[in-house]
Amino acid sequence: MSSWQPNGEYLLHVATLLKNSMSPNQEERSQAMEALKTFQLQSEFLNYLCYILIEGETNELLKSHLSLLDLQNNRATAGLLLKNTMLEEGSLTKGTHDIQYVKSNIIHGLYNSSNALVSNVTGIVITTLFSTYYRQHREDPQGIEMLSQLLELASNGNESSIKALSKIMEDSAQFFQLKWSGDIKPMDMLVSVFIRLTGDPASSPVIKSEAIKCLNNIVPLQSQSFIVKIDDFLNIIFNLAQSDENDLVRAQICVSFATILEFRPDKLIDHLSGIIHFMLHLIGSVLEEKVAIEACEFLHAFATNSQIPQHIVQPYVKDVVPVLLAKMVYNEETILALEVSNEDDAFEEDKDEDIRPVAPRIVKKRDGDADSEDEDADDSEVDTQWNLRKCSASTLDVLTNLLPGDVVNVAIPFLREHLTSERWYIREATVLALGAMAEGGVKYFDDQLPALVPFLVQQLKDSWAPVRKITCWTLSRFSPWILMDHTEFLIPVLEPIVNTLMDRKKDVQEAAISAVAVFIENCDSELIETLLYKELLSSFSKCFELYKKKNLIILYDAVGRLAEKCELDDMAMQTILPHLIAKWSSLSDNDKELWPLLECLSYVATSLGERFMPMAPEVYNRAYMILRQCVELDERSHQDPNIVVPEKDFVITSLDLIDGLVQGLGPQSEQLLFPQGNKNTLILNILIKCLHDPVHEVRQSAFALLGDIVYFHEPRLLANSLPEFLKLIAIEMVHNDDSDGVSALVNAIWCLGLIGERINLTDYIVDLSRLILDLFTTTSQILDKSVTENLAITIGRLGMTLPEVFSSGPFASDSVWSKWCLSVNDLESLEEKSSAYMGFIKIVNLTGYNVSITDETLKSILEGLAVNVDVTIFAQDIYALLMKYSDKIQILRLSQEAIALLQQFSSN
Amino acid sequence: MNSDDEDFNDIYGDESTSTTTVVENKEETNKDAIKTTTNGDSTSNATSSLDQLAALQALSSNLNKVSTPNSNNSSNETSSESKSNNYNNNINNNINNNIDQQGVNSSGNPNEKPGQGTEMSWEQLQQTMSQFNPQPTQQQQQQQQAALNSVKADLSRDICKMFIGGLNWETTEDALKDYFSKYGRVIDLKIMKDTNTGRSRGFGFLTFDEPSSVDEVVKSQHILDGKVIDPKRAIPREEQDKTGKIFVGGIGADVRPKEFEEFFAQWGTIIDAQLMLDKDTGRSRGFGFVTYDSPDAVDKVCQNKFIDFKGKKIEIKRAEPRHMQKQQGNESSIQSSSGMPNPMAQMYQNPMMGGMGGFNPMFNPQAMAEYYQKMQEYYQQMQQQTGMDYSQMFQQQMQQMSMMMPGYNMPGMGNTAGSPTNGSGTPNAGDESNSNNNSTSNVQTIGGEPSSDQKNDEADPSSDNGDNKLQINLPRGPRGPSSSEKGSHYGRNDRGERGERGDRGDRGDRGDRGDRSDRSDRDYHYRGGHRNNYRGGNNNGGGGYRGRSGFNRRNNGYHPYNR
Repeated sequence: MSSWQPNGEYLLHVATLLKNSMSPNQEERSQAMEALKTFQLQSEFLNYLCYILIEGETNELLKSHLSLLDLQNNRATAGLLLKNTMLEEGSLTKGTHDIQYVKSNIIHGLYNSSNALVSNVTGIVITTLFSTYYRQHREDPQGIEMLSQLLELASNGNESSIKALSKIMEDSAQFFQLKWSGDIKPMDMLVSVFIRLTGDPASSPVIKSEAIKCLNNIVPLQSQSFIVKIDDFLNIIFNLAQSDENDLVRAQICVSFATILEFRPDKLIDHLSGIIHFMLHLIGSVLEEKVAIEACEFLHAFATNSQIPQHIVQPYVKDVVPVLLAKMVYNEETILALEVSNEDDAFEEDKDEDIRPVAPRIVKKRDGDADSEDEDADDSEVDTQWNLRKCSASTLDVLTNLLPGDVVNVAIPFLREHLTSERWYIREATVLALGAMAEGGVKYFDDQLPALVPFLVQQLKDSWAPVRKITCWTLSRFSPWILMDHTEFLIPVLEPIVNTLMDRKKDVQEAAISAVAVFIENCDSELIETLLYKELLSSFSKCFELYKKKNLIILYDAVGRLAEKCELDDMAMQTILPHLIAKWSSLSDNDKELWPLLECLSYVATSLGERFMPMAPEVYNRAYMILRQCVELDERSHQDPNIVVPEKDFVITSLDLIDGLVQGLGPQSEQLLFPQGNKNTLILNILIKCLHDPVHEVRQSAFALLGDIVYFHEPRLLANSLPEFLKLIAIEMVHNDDSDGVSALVNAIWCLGLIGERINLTDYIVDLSRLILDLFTTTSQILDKSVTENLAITIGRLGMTLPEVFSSGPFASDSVWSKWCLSVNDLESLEEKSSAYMGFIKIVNLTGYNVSITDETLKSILEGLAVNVDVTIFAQDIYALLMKYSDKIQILRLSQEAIALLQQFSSN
Repeated sequence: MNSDDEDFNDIYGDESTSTTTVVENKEETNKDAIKTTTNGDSTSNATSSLDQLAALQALSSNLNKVSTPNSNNSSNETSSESKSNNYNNNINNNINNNIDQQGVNSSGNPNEKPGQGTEMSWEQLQQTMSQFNPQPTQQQQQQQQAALNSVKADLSRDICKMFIGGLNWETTEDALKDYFSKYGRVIDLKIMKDTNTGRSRGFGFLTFDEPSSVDEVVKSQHILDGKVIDPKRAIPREEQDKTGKIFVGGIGADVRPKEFEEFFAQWGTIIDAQLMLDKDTGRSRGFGFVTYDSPDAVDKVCQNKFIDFKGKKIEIKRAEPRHMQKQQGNESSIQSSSGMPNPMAQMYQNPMMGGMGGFNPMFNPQAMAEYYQKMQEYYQQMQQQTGMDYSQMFQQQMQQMSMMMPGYNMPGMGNTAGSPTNGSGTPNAGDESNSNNNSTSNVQTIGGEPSSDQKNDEADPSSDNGDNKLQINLPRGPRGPSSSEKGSHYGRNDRGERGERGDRGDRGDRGDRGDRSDRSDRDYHYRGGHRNNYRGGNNNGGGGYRGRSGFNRRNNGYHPYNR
């Protein structure tokens, strides 16, 4: 137990290393880190760290060797290293470390230092101890004991302790509903103490706010321990709302109301008027923006809570909307900042730190909120932080979606009054508000838009960059309205935005190119091609010359969308492609800027089709090199830990680019990928390695490429690797339980269908069909719709050549047929649905009367055949089906489409 | 199709009731079918072939109520023998004519007994198409009285019968009876079972002694064996057919289904009101359908083309089955082109069909003629490829088809077969037809473009333009803007989405085309396919997709308040 005593020599050694690890001397620092790493393997290492954290300033030996400052710093350093080591996988649960001393003594760190850093670090260590050790060792009596100590300290006014508790609640609240040592469920005790602390007038604001924060983490659990006391808690909160003016407390009160609104709206419904006016009062009056944001978040939650009926929200619209509108004006500091930076900057290079890191494609699960908060705090740029203006705009947006008529009625007169304000920031906020209301409310002020739109277009020439910027965005928000019902505005609106692409302010360029991309996305291909294509291309070409790094990324995106929307032609070859190629040549293989560029090129290559041929070999070879290099490095890193593995995004984007080439060039791409035909199928080997990658997105792109290779290239190329590919597809189907991997699964199933269409799978079909049908008929699992859809298509495709596999067994059942129809009937691709039905009808015909088909199923089949199916390619099979079930068919009440099918079929 | 319709398919398409008789009656059935089509007009003004069908469908529930000569099938059979013969001859003649052109020897013996002919072709058909196992057609019965003169759907007629949906699979007939007995005496009851597994299909039918019991049942919610069950009045199909349906467009997005129904109730008794909702969002799609219990109500509501409803002018159109619309066009063609040997076509146009919902789409003689031609070409081709003589097969197949689809009006065959009955049938039909056309002179199509639709029909009744229009989703070039969910926020689904199935189709389409040099063609498919798929892809995820693509989305664009 606490009888553990450090070995003096060893202690001193660790302490020196800790000191050196913070040394300004780089070499000394890394040496110390290395040495600490080896110490980490010692079973008592954590105890030593803890000892230094707790006794670091009192131990005589240490005092005699280190300066006072070093002693203080060492305590915090030891604490952080302690936390990090505990977090490292398994270090506590494996039991390799002795943590007796830590468990018994860590609590002292909360109060035995005047140094706030030390108490905070101690709090973090305690939190980590709970989230890693005690969660799993609830039977350990020291866990409960520590909890009691923390509560007692907090009750005595120790703020570090309550802060530690609120962190523990954030991480581990749900575990306190379980039984701990001595059959105690700590939740009751925790709730009582927290409520008492909240209501105790003697509590300091920090204690109060942290206690409320603790409870806010408990509310979502709907724990019985809390529910029985919810009224007490609410009483206290209501009292505090009226009496306590501390910002910390108020911010937590707002969070409380929002949380309870979400989980127990019934408790607040009678007090809504009071609460909302409290929030509005805070938003309007409070100086600390964080409090106002929390208050506004309540309103946001109020407007988005699906349990609260519209008519409950409706009476507050007239009070809420004006406050929101007022708070959508930039705050004073921002206005000042924007005013001093209004001058043109288009020719200044972007600093790397201005560019938000390109969002990685791979979904990373966030592993702790504490870290990300720090990042946010560092981010000082004007427009990247969540603020009251954004929260207000977002709330106005959702509120307009909920009650468009009411919001518009309140807002429009107000906005009209300020649209022409002489102060730019008022104009700016007005335009923002119009954009925020566009999605929900456009129908309710569309009579005013014909006048508003020209006004907005004028604002694109405003001398204030922020006004031009927001106007671009707001106009893009009206794009659905313009494109659906009012195309007469398209050119008058888009042309000025396109002109704004060349704005001399980079911020404005950013908004303009984003707006253009939105218009492209929402626009008919036909419109783009006839009206906008040339103009867009030549503008984009100029943008390539003008834009700096940050806006280039968005430009790539816009070009990609244009390429996706309409087929690029020779003009694009001459205007856009040289820029892309130049950029592509200038970037090194490990530059992350390649990602968006590769993506863009992929779309462009697809769209240019054969015209891309001259560039194709060079582009392919480089993409292939990048891909091969990444895959090889990845492989070697398994043996050699010193190898730094490049981001998977390089693999994904280069796979996608190759896929784009295959799609664009079609069969012609075969000579690129397989220059020596059968003799060199290296790309397939690489593909196989990618298909083994644990990252879903890599496999997703790899399956996509495989599918397109199967689709466009000679089947015999696959001959040698076929068993391996089929195995990988099978593996994908077996491991279907990760919802993040759905896209990979979908692509694998899709691939299988294509393979089955082209290559005889007789040797494999038994196992494969079992897997497919297991998945298709599963009742124990909810499959993503896209999975069932692709399974159904693949069943159809396999059925084209091997219908007998499906004509008995689990697929031979009316209900499965019915499910099959349900899965494919919404398919909008002619080819897929046709081949799906082609095989399916064969299967159904072959199954014969082993299955008695119900009228509903027959009806779904006919209705499925009726839409988006090329029936000419298998007319005889359909004919057989129709004949077989003619008696049933005529008594069906068929949809108009199905009737049309039969007529159409007969006219084929 | 509303859910009720589907229920009724259950009711009247119930295989277990029909199959028992079917097997033995295979032959009779066919002959009956022929008889009904050929002598229909002579028996009653309401017995077009379509009426027959509808009546048949209703029969299973009405057998005991309607006095029909259905008990003496045999006599009917004999009486219709000669006509059947005629009928067959006709087909054969017709086919022979076609086939003879190719120098194919016809084996169809005009004097062959119909029964024999039928069996022969069955066998051969089985041989030639291995998958094709002919199932006997359903029992054919006559029910002349079924075509009632009343204009209003009589909902009281079979009001004692209920459809019970949503049953627990474990629920037994006894349990069901026990449960409903508290509402009155249950005189008949059946839970539908899967014929293969014997397992309950989760629904059944139940008949009370008194209609008041049904009224009681529908008033409240019912839970049986732990499941909320769904009892509904069973409205006989034939009564349904006397209902009237309208299309309502331009409805405000704020209108809720209940309001919609209440609003339209002012013009008559509503059987079904359907406000079309977006599958994904649950929002109103701005249009809907109302089915009244009588055409009168439709007439009333249709007096106004536009009606004010919740501050919007909504548009009212009659929703008619397609053949009703075609009918007008066809008729004019018939009148003008007297040379067309198509008296049967007039019969086909018997206006009494106008009221029928359960019409068979294959009744389009023009389409059938074209189909026949196609089939013939197909067999010819087969012949060339295989050297086998398919002509006989073709002929028999045609014959078979005409047999199996009672109520089919084979194109061209009307030459002689129809004529015997025409004398009585046509004038009558003509009268009805006129009056019907008057009442539906402003009939418009569902879903807009009525004028072009009609124009097409009038301009070229032989083309199926109107119908082709219904193949709404065949690729036809550029699509409208993508759905608004995607549209309003800048941010694309990144390559991930692209790799997904949704986009596959466009590649497929393109690959299919092969010929990339044909630019317009490629465009056509590429774009059409692509947009569709993209959207499809989005919808794929169902509820999940938003979240997913949200994660995948690389949001580089400017947005003033994205979190």
